[in-house]
Amino acid sequence: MIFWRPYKNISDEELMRLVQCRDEKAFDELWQRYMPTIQNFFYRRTGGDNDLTEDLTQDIFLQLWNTKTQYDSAMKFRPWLFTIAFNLLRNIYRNIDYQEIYKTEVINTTQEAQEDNTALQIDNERLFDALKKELELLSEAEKLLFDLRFTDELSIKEIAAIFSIPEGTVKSRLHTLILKLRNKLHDYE
Amino acid sequence: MNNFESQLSAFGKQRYSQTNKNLRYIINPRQRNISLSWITTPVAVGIGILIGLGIQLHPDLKPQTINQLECNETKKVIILPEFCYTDFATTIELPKFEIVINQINNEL
Repeated sequence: MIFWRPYKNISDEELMRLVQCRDEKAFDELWQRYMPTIQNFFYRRTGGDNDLTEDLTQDIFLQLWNTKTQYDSAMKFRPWLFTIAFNLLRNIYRNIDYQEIYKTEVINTTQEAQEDNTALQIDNERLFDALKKELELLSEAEKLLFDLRFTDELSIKEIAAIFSIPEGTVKSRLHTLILKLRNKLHDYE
Repeated sequence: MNNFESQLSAFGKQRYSQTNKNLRYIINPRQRNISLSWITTPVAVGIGILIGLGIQLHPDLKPQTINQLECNETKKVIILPEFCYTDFATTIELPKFEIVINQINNEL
């Protein structure tokens, strides 16, 4: 705690500055905030491999601790963390058939969704099922862009920071992607 | 955000929560290190105490006086010359001073 402020009230960037001063409680707070998000991110991209997801999630936070001095406090923390995650994935995919894994994961999720339809609105059910099938047909870059924007709920600015591209480019790619999906799914809207 | 984008967001949220159902709890790597130290530290201390006690209790490893050594005539000990006329003997290994206890007794 900084004076009277509990860690949960401190911004990510301030917490990271504390981590740079070897504040372990600040690290724990970042872990609490981002472990589920990062774990979810890895799980979707490793074909539901819990062991690999666990290893990658541990790795990313160990990297965060070990490379804490490299963090530029002017940068937003969340895109920085996702950039590390993205780079970690790129290393893994050199050895793994990503295409095959992604398909398996999407199919599994579709089956789970079919078993858990009670909470969904009927109109959305048909659209979501069709959307899952369309996602399988997208390129890897498009799938990743879709997930970062709609599943991980990152802003345009954050996605631009992760890929080191201008915000305008992200907007344009996203617009094209949404248009593509909309044209294919207009019957379900 | 238009209606279609809202639907995509709803889909993303559903996808996220469904994925969460399949996830295992992961221990914070820092806590894992600490939890391991909670196990290993007492074990290491315990082993240390046992070794210490073993050294203290084992007759061959205990520091002994010449009087005690006299009871065991076949025992070889290392005696530093400056202590030859005292009751102190040590097990420090200096071969050139290694002698049989009977010889010490005779010299004494």
